[in-house]
Amino acid sequence: MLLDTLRVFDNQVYGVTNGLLMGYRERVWLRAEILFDELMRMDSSTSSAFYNALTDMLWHFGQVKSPAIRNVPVLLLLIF
Amino acid sequence: MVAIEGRRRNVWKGDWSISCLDLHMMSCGAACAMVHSWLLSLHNSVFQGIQLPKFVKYESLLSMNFLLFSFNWIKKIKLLITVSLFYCSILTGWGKHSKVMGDGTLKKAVEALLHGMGSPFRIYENNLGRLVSTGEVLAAWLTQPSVFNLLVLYDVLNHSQPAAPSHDHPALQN
Repeated sequence: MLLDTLRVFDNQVYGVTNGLLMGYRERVWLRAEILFDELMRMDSSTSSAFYNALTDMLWHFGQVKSPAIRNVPVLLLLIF
Repeated sequence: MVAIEGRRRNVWKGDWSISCLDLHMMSCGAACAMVHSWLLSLHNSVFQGIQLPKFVKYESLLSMNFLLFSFNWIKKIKLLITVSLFYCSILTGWGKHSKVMGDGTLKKAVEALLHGMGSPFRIYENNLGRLVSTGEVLAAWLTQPSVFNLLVLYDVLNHSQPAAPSHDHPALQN
């Protein structure tokens, strides 16, 4: 829902965020760099707020720490 | 990679060195990703034979500053020297902008992350917004075989070639 709202608001940001979240890093990275270049032209608090929001979203929905941690629920199931 | 790109472009302007990682101004996600990235850089440093800050007993510090021991502000400077020279530090801030003073979400998230990894970082007694570890203990932890896998981040969904884990984490120099 958040991403859909973002799509209406800014298609470029949506494309990059969606691509990174869906694991198409190689495909969207060039577009991401263009976006980051544009951000560098804005004031520092806007720029850091954008990076904070994007990394927060990726951290909570896009990345795991390690295969070991990802497999913890499976291991727990095997133990019990 | 986004967090690394942000650091490369100096978005957060915090300290990033072999002895200090400053997480002020970062969101929880950015800070946690940055902790992983910084520890991977330290990991590379250790494996390249670069020494992390070594702890020296406080008595030897006193002998270094024997002319200056009588003033209070000198004590504060000595404390600062002790922290910056002999510890590896992670600065989270102590949460003065939180609803409850000292109960910052960033501090709690970073503390939980480091605790979950079994890292040797502990809250510094003279500054609740600083997590510290001596270089020797941290180096010993980083060289444990299982730690590297704990530090590397993976995408949940990945349709791209994985980036080489050490590529974006160059070793930090003294």
